[in-house]
Amino acid sequence: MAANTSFPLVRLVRNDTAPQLRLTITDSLTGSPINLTSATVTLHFRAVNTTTILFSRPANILIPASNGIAVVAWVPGDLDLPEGEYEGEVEIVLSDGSRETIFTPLQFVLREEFA
Amino acid sequence: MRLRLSVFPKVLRLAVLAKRLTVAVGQFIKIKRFENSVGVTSTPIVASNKVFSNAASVSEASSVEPKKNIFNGIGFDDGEPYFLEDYVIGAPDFQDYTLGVQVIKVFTKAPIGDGAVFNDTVFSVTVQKSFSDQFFATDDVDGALTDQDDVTLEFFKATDHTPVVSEIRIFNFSKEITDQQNYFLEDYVAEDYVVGPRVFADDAGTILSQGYVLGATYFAEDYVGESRTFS
Repeated sequence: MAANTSFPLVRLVRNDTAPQLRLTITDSLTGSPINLTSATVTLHFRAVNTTTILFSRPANILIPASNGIAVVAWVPGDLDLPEGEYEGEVEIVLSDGSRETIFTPLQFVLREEFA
Repeated sequence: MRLRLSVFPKVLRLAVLAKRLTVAVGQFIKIKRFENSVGVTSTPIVASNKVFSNAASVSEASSVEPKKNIFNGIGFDDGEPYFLEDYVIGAPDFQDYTLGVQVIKVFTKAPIGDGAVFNDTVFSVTVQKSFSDQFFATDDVDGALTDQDDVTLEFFKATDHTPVVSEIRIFNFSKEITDQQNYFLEDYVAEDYVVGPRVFADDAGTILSQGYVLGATYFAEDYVGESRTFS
């Protein structure tokens, strides 16, 4: 499936731990934020055209959780990857156990660092 | 006949109640990460207002000053004042034997050179007293979980008293007394006899008291008066 380019292309440099990703989850019809109380938001990261999950990074849900905002902060070593294109999938597990994954993946491009 | 068929199908509108995701890129939160190895240390802190170091020194210096007054009073006693008695026969050799009132001799004695030296060294007593405090305290942080967590306060105070006493007393007392005795015959009464010059204690000789004589050896024979030899 061709990558959906609705999301902005995130440009990263190898071995960096920034920038972070702020994820705002709302209802598609009403536009109201999804209450993330006791929910988990996870970013699954892989290279484009591969099936191997390189890492899964839980997002930090900001308080109040009813605002539906979660932030993905890179851990040192997450971006220690070869230069190339990558994609990420956002998975949401609500307090009632329901699980919903954002269909459109996030797009990343990673370049080699200078130093 | 014509048949019109109208179909009124239901319209299905499908709305997918999906989550909309809005992504923003930037620095939003500060992440604090914890290591896997967890260690807990407990450092009890006991605040104490006690001054641990108590260096006290006590010194005591006492001096002893002798209150002895040097008395240099010299007394001389010649015994019975027999010179006050009138006598002719039996008087001492230096006594001028004459008839009449006995010669009263004035005897003085002047001590010379009383070099009395008195030394006294002050003895001092030095007392040194030092205090050493040992304060040990433990604080139980989380209750009596173990035997070692009991709150224990121990206080040790050791007093070292090492007095040092030194006493040096030196008395040097020397006294020199040199006397020179001079005594004079200040008076002689006899008119009939020429006694001659004054007799000194360091004089030696013979005094002949004679009335009228034909020779110095008149009294050598004992029939008029008497002769005495003194030295």
